[in-house]
Amino acid sequence: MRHRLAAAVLLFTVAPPGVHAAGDRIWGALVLATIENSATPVPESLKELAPAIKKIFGYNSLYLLGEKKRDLFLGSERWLVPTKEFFFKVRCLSQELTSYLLRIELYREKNLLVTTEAKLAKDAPLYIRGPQWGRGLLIFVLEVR
Amino acid sequence: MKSFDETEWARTKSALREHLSSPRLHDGDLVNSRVVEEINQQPQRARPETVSLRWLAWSGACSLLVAAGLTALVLSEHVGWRSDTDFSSQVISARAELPNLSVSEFQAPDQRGVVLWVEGANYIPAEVSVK
Repeated sequence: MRHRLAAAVLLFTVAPPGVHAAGDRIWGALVLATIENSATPVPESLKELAPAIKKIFGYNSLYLLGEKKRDLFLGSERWLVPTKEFFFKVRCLSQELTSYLLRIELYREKNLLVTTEAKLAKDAPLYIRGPQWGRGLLIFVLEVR
Repeated sequence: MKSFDETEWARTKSALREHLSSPRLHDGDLVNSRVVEEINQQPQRARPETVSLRWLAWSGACSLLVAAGLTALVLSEHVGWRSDTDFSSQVISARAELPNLSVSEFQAPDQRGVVLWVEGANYIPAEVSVK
């Protein structure tokens, strides 16, 4: 009986999936996508995203060139530097129950390439198609986790 | 040694015993039967315990209903019954900051994610490090 009561209380107190909670973080990564004769193993931190990336961009092999995580909260402004060459400036403009409104600036060294305002829901990434590098394509991924 | 009051009280009691006697009932059985009959004819009072229990049950049920209603109201305002778009990412605005770049956006197919498609970025030779 006590366990059932505890379960009921837990049900009402735990936030449903997709609803952000204190301690959310923004994860940024730089990924190299290539086409290989035989697909290479997917890096651990890209396992969940790999099917979507392959489907959107049409490559079969992914390499993680760098990744970074930062705390996310209303009014925060963070540099997210997955690599020295490419990095982001992320500012949290507003916060709703299921998403964050972010102003994201993508830099290559000192040059600002793209500015975007995007509403990012939890576990719903933003993919940015970057330049071609060697025989592959650079892809930037931002996700609230 | 008895006090004066106690002596007086004992004297009064014995005088009362002598001179005061309860009147005898001539038809004791009749009176008794009339009293019993009168008692039986009186409407039975409701039992307070039963009323209290029923009242408690109803008030409990009503409280549960009110609590459920309020919970549904609060949850609907703060949490739920949201559409899928509330759990999807979307690009509100995007602009290229270099003249050779252009950007467009679209929802990731079958996903909650969103894609920002940047065109026109210069090719980076493999010899150049991007790490």
